[in-house]
Amino acid sequence: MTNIFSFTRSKKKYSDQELYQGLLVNKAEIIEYLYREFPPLARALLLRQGGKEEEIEDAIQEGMIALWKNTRQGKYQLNEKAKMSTYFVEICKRRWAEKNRKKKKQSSMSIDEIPLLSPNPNALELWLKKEEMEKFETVYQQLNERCRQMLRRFYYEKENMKQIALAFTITEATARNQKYRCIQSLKKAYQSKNH
Amino acid sequence: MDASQNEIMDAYLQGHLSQEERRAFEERLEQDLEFRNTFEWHQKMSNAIQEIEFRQTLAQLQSSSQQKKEAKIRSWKPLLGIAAAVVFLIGFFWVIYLNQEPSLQKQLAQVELDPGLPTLLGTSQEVAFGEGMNAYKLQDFEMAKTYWSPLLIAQPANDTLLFYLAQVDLGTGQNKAAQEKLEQIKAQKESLFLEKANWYLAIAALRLEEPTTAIELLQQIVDQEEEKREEALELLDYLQE
Repeated sequence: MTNIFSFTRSKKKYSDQELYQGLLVNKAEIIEYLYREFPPLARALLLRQGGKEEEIEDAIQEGMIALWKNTRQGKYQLNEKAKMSTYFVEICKRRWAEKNRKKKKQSSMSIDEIPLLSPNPNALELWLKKEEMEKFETVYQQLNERCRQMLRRFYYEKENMKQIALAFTITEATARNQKYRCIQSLKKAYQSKNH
Repeated sequence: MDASQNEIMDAYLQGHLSQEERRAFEERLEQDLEFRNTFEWHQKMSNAIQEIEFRQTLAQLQSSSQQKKEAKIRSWKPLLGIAAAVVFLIGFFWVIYLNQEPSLQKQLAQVELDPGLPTLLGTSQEVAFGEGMNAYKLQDFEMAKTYWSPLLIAQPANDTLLFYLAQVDLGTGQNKAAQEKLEQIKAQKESLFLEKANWYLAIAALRLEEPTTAIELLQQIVDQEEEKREEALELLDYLQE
C-alpha cells in the first residue's frame, strides 16, 4: 500500500479549530500533525509519573483513538480554556492510570475545564458496541481490496463519487453502483456472522 | 435498501442535504421504523469503517516513525564510528599535550641558573655583592635581591648585577623582569655575559610562551657556537619534536 505520509513534513502550526475540523473529516495532514505533536507531551508527563515505555505507548495510541472518537461524538468540544493538546494529555493520563489500577491523580485543571463528560447531544452518533465492532472488523477485512479501497475513500477520506470514479477509471454511475454493492455484501456478511 | 436510499443516507450524514431535504429525511426517520433501522445500521457502519481506517492510519504512522528512527540510527552508525575515532584521537592528543606541556614547563622551571661567582672581600660594595652572592648560592633569592638591588640603582648598566639579578628573577618566576635585564646586557656588545644572556633570554621567552623568539635565540646560539650550544641544541630538538 502506498504510504500516504511520505510527503515532506510541513512545519505549519494548526489552531485547535483547524485540528477539530480536520479530525472530523479525517484529514491526513491533521492526523499526522497530531501524531507528531501531541504524544511527546503525554510521554513526558507519564514518564515523570513513573510510566513504563510500553504502557505509555499503549495509553497514547488509545488516547489518539479516544480524541478522534470523542471529537465526533461531541464529548470533546472546542474550548478556549482547555486546549486540545491538554485534553489529549488528560485522556492519556486517565487511560494509563486506569490500566495501572492506580488511584486517579487530581489533574492540575479542574474537571469542568476539561469537557470529558459533557457531550453535545446534537453531535451524538450511533456506534457499534465493542463486541459488534470486533465482528464488523472481521467481515470488513475480508472484503475484496477494491471494495475496501472504495469504502475507505468514501467514508474515511471523504472523497466524493466523482473523485472515486476518477481514481478507479470508471464512470460515476458505475462507481455508485459498485459502492452500493460493496455495502450490501458487507451488511450481508455481518448479519450472517451475527446470527 | 436500494441504491438511492443509500445515497440519501450518505448525503444526510455528510451534511449535503438542503434544509428542506433534511427536514423531510428526519420526518421519515420518525415515521418509518424500517427506514430508521436501516439508517441506524448505515450510520454505525459508516462510523465503524472510519474507526477501523483511523486505527489503520495510526498503525501506519507508528510503523513509519519507527522506520524513520531506525533509518536515522542506520545513517548515523558509520558516522558514530568516525565520531568515536575523532573523540579517541582528541583524547589521545590531549593526553600527549597534557603530558608534554607540564614536561616542557617542568624542564624550563628546572633550567640551571648560573652557579655564581667566587666571593672576595673588598670594598663595601664588593662586600654587599658577595653577601648577595652567598645568599644566591643558597638559593635565597629574596635575600640576594635585597643586597643587589641598591647596587643596581647606583650602577644601572652593570652587566654583572644585571645578569645575576636576572637570575634571581628567573629563580622567582619574574620572567618578564628577567627578560628586560637580559635585553640590557645584550645592548652591551662587549659584555662577558652576552652569550649566557642569550640562553636565559630563550628560557624566559619559552616560559612567557613566546616560542618564535625562543627558537630564534636558540638557533643563534647554535649557529654562533655560543657557550650554551649543547643545551640550545637539545632544547631545539625537543621543541621540534
